[in-house]
Amino acid sequence: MICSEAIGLYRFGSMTVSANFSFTHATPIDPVAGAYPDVSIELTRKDETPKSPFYHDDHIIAGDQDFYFRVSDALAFRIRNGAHISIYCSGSAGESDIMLYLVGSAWGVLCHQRGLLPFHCSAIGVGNNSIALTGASGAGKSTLAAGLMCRGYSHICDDVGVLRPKANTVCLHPLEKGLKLWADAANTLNLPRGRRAGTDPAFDKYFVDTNSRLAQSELPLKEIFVLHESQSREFSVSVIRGTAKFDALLSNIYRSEWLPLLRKPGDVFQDIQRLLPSLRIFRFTRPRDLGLLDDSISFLETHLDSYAETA
Amino acid sequence: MLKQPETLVPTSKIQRSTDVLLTELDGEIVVMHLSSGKIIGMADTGRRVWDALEAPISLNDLTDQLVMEYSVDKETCFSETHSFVASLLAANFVVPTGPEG
Repeated sequence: MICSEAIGLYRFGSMTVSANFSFTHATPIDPVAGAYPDVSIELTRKDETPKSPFYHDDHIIAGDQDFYFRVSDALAFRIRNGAHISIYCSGSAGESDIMLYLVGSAWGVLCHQRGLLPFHCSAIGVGNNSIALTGASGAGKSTLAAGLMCRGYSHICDDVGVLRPKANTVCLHPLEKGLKLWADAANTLNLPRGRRAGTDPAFDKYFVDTNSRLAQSELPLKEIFVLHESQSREFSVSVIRGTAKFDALLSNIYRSEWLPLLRKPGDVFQDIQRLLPSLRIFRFTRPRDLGLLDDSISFLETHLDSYAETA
Repeated sequence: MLKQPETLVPTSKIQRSTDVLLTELDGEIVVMHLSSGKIIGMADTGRRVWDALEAPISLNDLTDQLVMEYSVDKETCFSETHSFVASLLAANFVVPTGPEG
């Protein structure tokens, strides 16, 4: 990946971004006189870490609004004040890995520093609203969202959507990360595989095309489905209430394991408190068998259709 | 020096910690301890106990209140209340407030 003397301007994650490299996930835009970017991203060979950290381990160094994480000897990221991302790259790190972590973990940290809530989910449009699918990594969020997309629902985001707790209407703001599916999931859905999503041989995920099915505007978020695996061949959807509802949102915040290093617990509590009244959260339990994927999608679709009629 | 876990003495007064935030959700109260980030939810009797801990109160006095309100014998009530309050104390949701009442 090549640094450039010229600074390019882009649009990504609803923000204006400047970068000294080709930011391939973002949309190039023309500069506006007198306007400053929301975020600057710098590709650099200088590996600089936070000066006064309160936390330090083999992979993370955290200070106040200054977070550094190391991916490998050749690649590390430093995010400061929700406005600056430095990418230390020795030259041997591949572009796909740089992008994977930039639009993933690094941007997630940036959102946390800005007081936003990145939410670990895939999301689709249902009528004039959006619904999110969340759960542990590998739970099937991307696959289910892709399956619903194949049935005509608009695709909003994959892996991360950003919530703005202080906004009047709760919308899920997409990050333009593309849709990544495991090879067998893409094959099951008959979706052509594009380029590979990373260089790790164990990460057998590929980008698939969503362009013709992207949601055209940001839709209010109304329902969240937390995905669980059924031990039998049963399907069920049940409402989550009370403390479990609170925890469903809290535990599926993107990079929640880093939250104690990024935000005050009280601020996160109040953000969730603001969001919950406008949300219904459900537990969706179904078999993980890819051979039953069509049945899973059909079962979820009946709930979505009944919701769309009453929304 | 490690802080020793507090022992719940039936006559010593305890009270809710001030280092918490809480919200009501679907008939439950959700409480977060701000220093630890731990979360606990309480409904029904647990919520009643939490309400009673707003002011300093001993385990004995709390048990006496609950026995008057619920159809439960004193021994069972004391045992269950002790268990619940001890868990709150261990997680710092409640704190000792002073000498025996």
